[in-house]
Amino acid sequence: MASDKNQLSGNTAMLLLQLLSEKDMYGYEMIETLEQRSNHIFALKAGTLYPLLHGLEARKHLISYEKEERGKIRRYYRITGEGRKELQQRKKEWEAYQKAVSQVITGCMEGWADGLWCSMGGEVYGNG
Amino acid sequence: MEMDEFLEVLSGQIRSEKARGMVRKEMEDHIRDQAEAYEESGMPRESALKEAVHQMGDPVAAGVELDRIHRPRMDWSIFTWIVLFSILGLALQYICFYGQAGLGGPLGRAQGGSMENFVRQCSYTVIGLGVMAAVCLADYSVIGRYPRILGAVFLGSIWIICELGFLIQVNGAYPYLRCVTYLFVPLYGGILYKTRGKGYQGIAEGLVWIGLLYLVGAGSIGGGMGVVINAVLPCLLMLFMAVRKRWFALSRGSGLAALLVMMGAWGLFFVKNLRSYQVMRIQAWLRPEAFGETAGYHMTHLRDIVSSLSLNRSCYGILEQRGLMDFLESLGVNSEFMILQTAVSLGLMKAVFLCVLFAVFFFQLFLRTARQKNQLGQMTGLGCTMVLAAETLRNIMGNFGIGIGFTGGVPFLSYGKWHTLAVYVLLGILLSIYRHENLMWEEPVERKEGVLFQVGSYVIKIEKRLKSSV
Repeated sequence: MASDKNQLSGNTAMLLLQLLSEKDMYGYEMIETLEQRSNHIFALKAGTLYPLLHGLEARKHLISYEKEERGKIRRYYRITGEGRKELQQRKKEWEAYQKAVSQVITGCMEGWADGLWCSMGGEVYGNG
Repeated sequence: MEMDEFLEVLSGQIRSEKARGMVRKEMEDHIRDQAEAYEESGMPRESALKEAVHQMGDPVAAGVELDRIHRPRMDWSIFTWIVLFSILGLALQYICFYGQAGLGGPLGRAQGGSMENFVRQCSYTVIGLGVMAAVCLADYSVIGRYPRILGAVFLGSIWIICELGFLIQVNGAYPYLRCVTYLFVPLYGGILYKTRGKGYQGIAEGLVWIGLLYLVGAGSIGGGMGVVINAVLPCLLMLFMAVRKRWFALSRGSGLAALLVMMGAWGLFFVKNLRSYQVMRIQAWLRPEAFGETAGYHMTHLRDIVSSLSLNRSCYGILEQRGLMDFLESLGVNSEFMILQTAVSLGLMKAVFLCVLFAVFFFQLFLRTARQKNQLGQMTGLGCTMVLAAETLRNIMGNFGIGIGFTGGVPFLSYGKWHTLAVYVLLGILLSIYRHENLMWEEPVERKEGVLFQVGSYVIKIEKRLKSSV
């Protein structure tokens, strides 16, 4: 269970880093953007978001600052150079994971997954 | 659950008082933003607030997780370095000085070489470590809240003590108080932090405080170049750093130009008011051979000792042959020559190794300070590290006859109550900065683009004229 939780927070952290790599945002804005861009699949609770953000800040992947906008002082988060490197690393890991899952689901062996042979073989097997 | 109840439960899980306030504010802002969005979609105000609180999730789970992130963390690695250096310092003092100055030892007539002094230094070190621990556990950010009051009280107290003659004078000055001026440097970090966004006025204020430090340190205490190099110079470098970081809300170019002009005027005043003995000392540092029997006496004899050093063993025999033992004994315990005593007693290689250990230690301190995300912590930590590093560097150079001046202590190796305490207070402040790294957020400086001059609320600004379409 612990590894499931870690993986889940790791993937959420990747999504947050991706959002912040595009522009600086405050907490509420991140939840809204994530929800809209995922067609309401990712409805992140604030109780999950802030510990993640503060943890990323403690690891120097983000920095935060206060800024006034429309009469409200809000805490914005900005991705750092280290944060961008972390994002690249997590994206690579995610792609490898996605590929592995897809291979398991489609029943293809390594090396066949992204080739024409895989889909043809699948069809032949399926038709057979 | 009502909003206040949610915030109480969540912040109640966080042990650090400092983190508690900032987390609570951020959470409250979030709830209000969410409630506003619900209201805009047609929900009544009260229900909107309740739903927004509900959407926040479990306050206990979030609070526990935030507490884990925002708890003070002791830097045990640096703490261990400090304890080991303290033990090594005392061991070297015993092996290379007090042991040699004992009955029948080659440094038999050395000043202050009694075992009584060694025991005293051991107790100063233990007290120093205790003071360091207390400072480390305290909240250093008080420096950033009341720096001017603290700075004025600090310098004012030293001035009053010296002017009213409460303490014993040595040659018309208080050289043992020189190291106390080091403690102004972290306060100066707070002063610079407080002058953020103040434009040219901020730079001028920064220089005025340096001037006051110089007047009290070099004037009232009579600390001379020791104060200038170990305390004034770090403050000046901090001021440059503040300009570079655009703390004064000025462009780097205009900030630097203003600082150089103001410093030029100050430097001119300083040079014009140099006394004849100060001019002679500067000349002696540059050409010690020409002042061999007067101001350059120490420097030429030190160089003679250095040229007699062996790589891996003691060189007392060679010094005896060359008639340098009297000079070595005259340095004594108060003259801060422990690195040279180590080289004489254990060989040059051991002394070089000691210097390498110092370099690694200060590198670690600089690295940790540079990584601080809190600007007050970064500036104050930089000041403390520079003081310790400048003192050590100056001492090493002085010990080997290549420095600017030769008196002044070195952390962990020098005898003296005031010096030991000052060093451990600075180390305590550094540990406190590292410990509170994830606990403090701060307000950013408001950048005022194009501001040419600002005094109080009056601003002269340069703006680009927009092209008219007509």
